[in-house]
Amino acid sequence: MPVEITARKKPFRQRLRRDMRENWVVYLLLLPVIIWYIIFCYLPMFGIVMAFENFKFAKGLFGSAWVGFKNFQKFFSSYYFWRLLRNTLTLSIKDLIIAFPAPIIFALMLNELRSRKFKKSIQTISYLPYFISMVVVCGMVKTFTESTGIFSQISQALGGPKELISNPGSFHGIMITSGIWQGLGYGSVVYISALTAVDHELYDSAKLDGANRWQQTLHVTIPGIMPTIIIMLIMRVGHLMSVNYQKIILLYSPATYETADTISTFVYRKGLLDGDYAYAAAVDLFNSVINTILLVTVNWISRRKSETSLF
Amino acid sequence: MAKKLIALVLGIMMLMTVAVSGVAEEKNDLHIADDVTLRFFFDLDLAANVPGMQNYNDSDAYKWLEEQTGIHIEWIHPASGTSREAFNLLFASDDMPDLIYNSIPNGFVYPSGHDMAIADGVYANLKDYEDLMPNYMAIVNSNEILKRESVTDEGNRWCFFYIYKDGRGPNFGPTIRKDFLDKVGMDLPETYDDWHEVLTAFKEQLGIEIPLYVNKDTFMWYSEFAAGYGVTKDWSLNTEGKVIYGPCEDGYGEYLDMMQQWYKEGLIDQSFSVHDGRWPENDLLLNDKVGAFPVYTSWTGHDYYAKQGATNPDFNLVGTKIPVKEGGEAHYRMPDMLTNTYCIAVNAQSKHLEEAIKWMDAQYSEEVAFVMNYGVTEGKEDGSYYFDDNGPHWGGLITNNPDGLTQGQARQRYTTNNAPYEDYNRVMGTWTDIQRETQARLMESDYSAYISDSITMTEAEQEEFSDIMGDITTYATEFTVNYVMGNASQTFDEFRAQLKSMNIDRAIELKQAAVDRFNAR
Repeated sequence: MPVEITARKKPFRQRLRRDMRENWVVYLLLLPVIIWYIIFCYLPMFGIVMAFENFKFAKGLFGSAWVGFKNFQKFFSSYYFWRLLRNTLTLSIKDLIIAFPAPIIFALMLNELRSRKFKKSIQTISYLPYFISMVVVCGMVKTFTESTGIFSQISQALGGPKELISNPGSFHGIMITSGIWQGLGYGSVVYISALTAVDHELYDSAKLDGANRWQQTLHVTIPGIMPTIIIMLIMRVGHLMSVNYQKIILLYSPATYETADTISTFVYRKGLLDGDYAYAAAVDLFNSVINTILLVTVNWISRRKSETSLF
Repeated sequence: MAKKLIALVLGIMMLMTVAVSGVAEEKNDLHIADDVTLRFFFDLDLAANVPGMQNYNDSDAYKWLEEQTGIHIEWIHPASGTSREAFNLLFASDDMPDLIYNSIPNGFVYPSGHDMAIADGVYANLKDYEDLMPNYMAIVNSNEILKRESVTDEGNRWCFFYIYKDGRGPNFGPTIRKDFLDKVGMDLPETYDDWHEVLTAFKEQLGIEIPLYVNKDTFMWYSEFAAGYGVTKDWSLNTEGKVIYGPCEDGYGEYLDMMQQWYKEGLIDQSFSVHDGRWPENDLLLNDKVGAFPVYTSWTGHDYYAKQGATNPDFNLVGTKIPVKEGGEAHYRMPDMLTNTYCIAVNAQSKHLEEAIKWMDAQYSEEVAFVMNYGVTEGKEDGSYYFDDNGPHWGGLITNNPDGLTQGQARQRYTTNNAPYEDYNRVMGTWTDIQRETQARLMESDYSAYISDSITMTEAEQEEFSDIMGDITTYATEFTVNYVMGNASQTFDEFRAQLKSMNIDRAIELKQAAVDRFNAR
């Protein structure tokens, strides 16, 4: 009886206190994470104020003159506004369509392997690139795609562009392919663990019903890991506007700005290199607002359609 | 008896005190203060560049200076590659160092301008402390140009400039491999047509991978190859002394067409758009893959690159003139030849403001400047300096270092890389004939295209100027690179029209006004 259940339930505060007493070790483990979020994610949010000010170091956050939306207007009327927005969106969406399913497919393929030894070695090999520093990876990518690099040589032989890394048309391709190469193994971990949780009896009954392996995958495995996929998708969309700017900065050049310059890299150049903090803060705030809107929208759609959602 | 003894003891003690203080006074000519530590932000990644050095306290010259002045310096050397960020972040922190390295052409300046740095109470206005800096003031006042350059339009004195004692000649320009030239039997190129012929021969006869090395950010550091067309990659003065923005000029179009042609023919670096270095990386250069590139005069000849690991015994790099059109003249700019680009500002909030000013000023005195330039150990073979009839010279410790340090590394270890009051003879004294000839060739060009780094704008002007130029600089670099690679989506005329619509004329006007005010100082 529902009435009885609510009656027996103690108030949240009391339950929390009791839980804390019993599981204090777990809470202790959580503490650093909470501190990290407060220091690095919540406190810096006050800096947003800067975006509405004519920020001056000497006057500080509270003393600088208030200019309202001037910094935003400057960005919206900038020669580069549309290009930055276009590049950010196209690069992200391409990445979402191509790179997001890659680890899922990889996990499914691994799942079908019968030899444990082979499976383990494939997994280990595919993890390795993830642990190479981004600077080193980009150095390698550059070497391979310069005019004398192997990929550019192949492209030349096939009648393509002479040098891939300086060709605006191939920049997104380089970003995404190298991203998949680096993140495939590591990204598949979460799906592999979800796969182990799929009930084996379901496979047995599917077999009894005469399902072949492809049908088993389609009707048992994928529905089994669907909640994980959706949560990962929502989180990925939440990052849609925050492209991997460190990597872009390491790979782009004036020759490829046309397709490679994104909002985040623009913020980096304006803020850290030119020291125009207020302008950079405004541009970044715009980026975050779009991001939040996307996140909430996708979450809402997902809740309506599949009953899986973050919040 | 006891009294006599006491008197005797006291007497001896008094004598000793006098003697000690006498010695102390003699030694304390340069003494400023005891137990004072100054923090100094200085863009130089010594730990990465010189084996065995962490910071300038490991240099003989600064060790000596600390003994003399009693002031300890805590050096803050940002890691190379992150120094601009580190500099900008200084102003956002509550923990500003006492002395702050600035460099106008490299972008190490207070974002809203020198006058604002003083008005905001960040940099001290040295105008108010001129009596504490007699050495520096004497030098600055001895030269009309220095007098003008060392202050802002408003007459504020915002930093200590690094000054060349007797000025210096040009020390950077295009260079070419003489041994390659000999192989193809050609003379040093002078005109663009000569260059085209030579580079083609390098490519076709010798199979050189990169006949001419160029770089993406600067597309030739000081625009060496554009000077013959009367332009630079950005700001310069034309032959009538008016301010021009290179990319807006007709000459820039011709320059781009030429570069595009050279790129197409494979005469310039095919990967220039992704190469960061101002000069080629060693694995290209030392393996005979590069025919020509712009570099410091001091690095010409055989020895410098032999020490870097060039295995080809014939390796010989010589400087050429600034390239010109047939029958034309180069209108070139070279950075200031009176001051180095470095400039040290003093934190207005510093607890040791006066000590910091005195310490900086001390380095402009003859005695300290000598040590900063030449180090502390005398000896032709095993010292850092020696004298002959022509004056002081670097000794074997620097020119032929027993630990295998290059001259550039050794000068940082035993003297300073850039002395505040630098005697450029210390460098020229080590030059070989090839290097002297290289400089002589550079000196034939006209250098009046240079706009002083010390022109200043008001805060409002500065803001307007950087708003306009922020987008334009990116746009111009992008167009230049793409045009040369044959990928540009616009013609040169469309590009120029676009610059106009981005308000370049207003930026030129602001720059011209600043130059006029500078000339009127």
